[in-house]
Amino acid sequence: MSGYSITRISRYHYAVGPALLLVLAALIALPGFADKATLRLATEMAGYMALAIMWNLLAGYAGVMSIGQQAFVGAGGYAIFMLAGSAGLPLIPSVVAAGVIAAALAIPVGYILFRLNGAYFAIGSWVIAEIFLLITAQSDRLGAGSGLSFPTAVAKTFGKSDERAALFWWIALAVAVVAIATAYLWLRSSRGLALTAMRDDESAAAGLGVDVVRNKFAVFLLAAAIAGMVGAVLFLGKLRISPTSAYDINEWTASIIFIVVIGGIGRLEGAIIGTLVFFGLRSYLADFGSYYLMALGVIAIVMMLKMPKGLWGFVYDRTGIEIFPMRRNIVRSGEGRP
Amino acid sequence: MLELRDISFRYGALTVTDSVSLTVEKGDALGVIGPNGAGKSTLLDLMMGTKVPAEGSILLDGEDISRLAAQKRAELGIARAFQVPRPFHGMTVFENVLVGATLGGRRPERGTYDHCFAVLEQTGLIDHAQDQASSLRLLDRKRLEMARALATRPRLLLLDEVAGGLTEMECQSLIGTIRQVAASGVAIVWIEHIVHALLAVVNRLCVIDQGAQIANGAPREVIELPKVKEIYLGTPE
Repeated sequence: MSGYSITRISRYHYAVGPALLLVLAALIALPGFADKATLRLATEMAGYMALAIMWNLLAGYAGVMSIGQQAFVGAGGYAIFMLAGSAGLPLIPSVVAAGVIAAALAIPVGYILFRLNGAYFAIGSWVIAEIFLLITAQSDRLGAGSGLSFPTAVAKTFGKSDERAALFWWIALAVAVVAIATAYLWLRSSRGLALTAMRDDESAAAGLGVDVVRNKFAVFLLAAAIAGMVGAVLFLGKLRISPTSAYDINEWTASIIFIVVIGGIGRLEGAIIGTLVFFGLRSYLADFGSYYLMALGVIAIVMMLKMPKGLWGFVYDRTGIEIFPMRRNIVRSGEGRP
Repeated sequence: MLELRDISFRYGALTVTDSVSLTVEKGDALGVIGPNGAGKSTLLDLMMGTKVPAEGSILLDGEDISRLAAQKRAELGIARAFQVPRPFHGMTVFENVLVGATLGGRRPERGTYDHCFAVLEQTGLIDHAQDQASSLRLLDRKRLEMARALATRPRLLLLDEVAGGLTEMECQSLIGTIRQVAASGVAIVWIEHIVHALLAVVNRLCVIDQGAQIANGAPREVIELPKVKEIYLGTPE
């Protein structure tokens, strides 16, 4: 034996784990003490957080600069209106199916997009999302340009208005937890080692045996599935969907990029911190009307200049703290944990 | 083991590699010298698969690998250390090496830890194993390039000017490491401007000028050839 071994966690993680479980328990219990408006806000936050986690995996790790994720959010939204709404299928399987449909759509989309590099990929992803919008707006079954309303009769089967809010919150929470857990387990595994290497230097990674395109495609499919489920639950909450709201680049991609940049690109924790900051800013700045977007823009630019690794990157560089332990710590035989 | 047959590569009208043929056998350490812009690094790109030849073929153990992607060649046992070190700066030194060991070596992560530590010992990086790769000084970055490549358990190691920019003492320590690697049975192709470093290791020397191979043979004989002296060391006035 070499006299060295590896440990993945530090002492403080014995406190972090239970703390995360406590937070999760409080979030599950949220409908017990929060009103309907708070639940709706929390539902939206969970959806955004799931999207931000995935965009961070895409752009922050895999180097996939997609600005077309709204394609999959919109597809998932329409899928739930067709499956749970028109067809009257059970709710939860329909949400999962919306994710599966979005991922299935991502296969041909990715097949086309992964022939493009860098800026061309970004533009291509946007163009494809616009094509999704145009096709939807042409389809009479999908309500064409004016969109669809969720059938009231079906909505009533989910319970009264505040029971529905609680139900949709639990679904959104589940989607966010799945997104975080999948991202965490992925990044911790040797696939994550490949992704992190790609984040730092793609061609050096390829030279060491990393199958770059395959890893990118896998992350792209996962991100599409999560986006589909987020679209499903968020449009359920609105009970209305239209092509412009479903495939809105500002809502589903620009805000998400803001969240990831503020929080810290290329760190799992960044997307979570970023979501909290974004919603904090939004509720605070909402009173200033259209100045709100300008203020967000200024904040994003200042952050990119002064703190390019985002809030969490700043903290990590100074403290080395990880909420989700990924680093491999080396222990010499006979020594304790660092 | 590796055979290049009439390999050519062009950027548009510019011929960078001009029908080069050479072979590397198991246990060989082949040095490649030539003036700047002679096409030496391109030769390594072609071997590694980051560039695809316009003409000719590359064979590994008799199989044509000319169009195989870099990561497939890494799996087949070819590894490369870059001229300018390209560490994964957001990872620790150990994790950098682990990338090569698990993904290039196609082994489950836990099974490679001991191999990684052995490579880190061999390349003199064990005391930096836990450091962020971005914090390393130049010599250690160069060592890390080699460590990562070695971690893939290569049969053929491509070294691209790994001695450049080092002090004489640092250079000697690097030569020691490369000799060890060669002695362990790994075939080496080494591009280098620092000829004395090269001569301390290689058993064959190949000279490239304007994309073409102008000499290939025993190092001491090749370096004494008039045409090599003329091209590589300049024409005596």
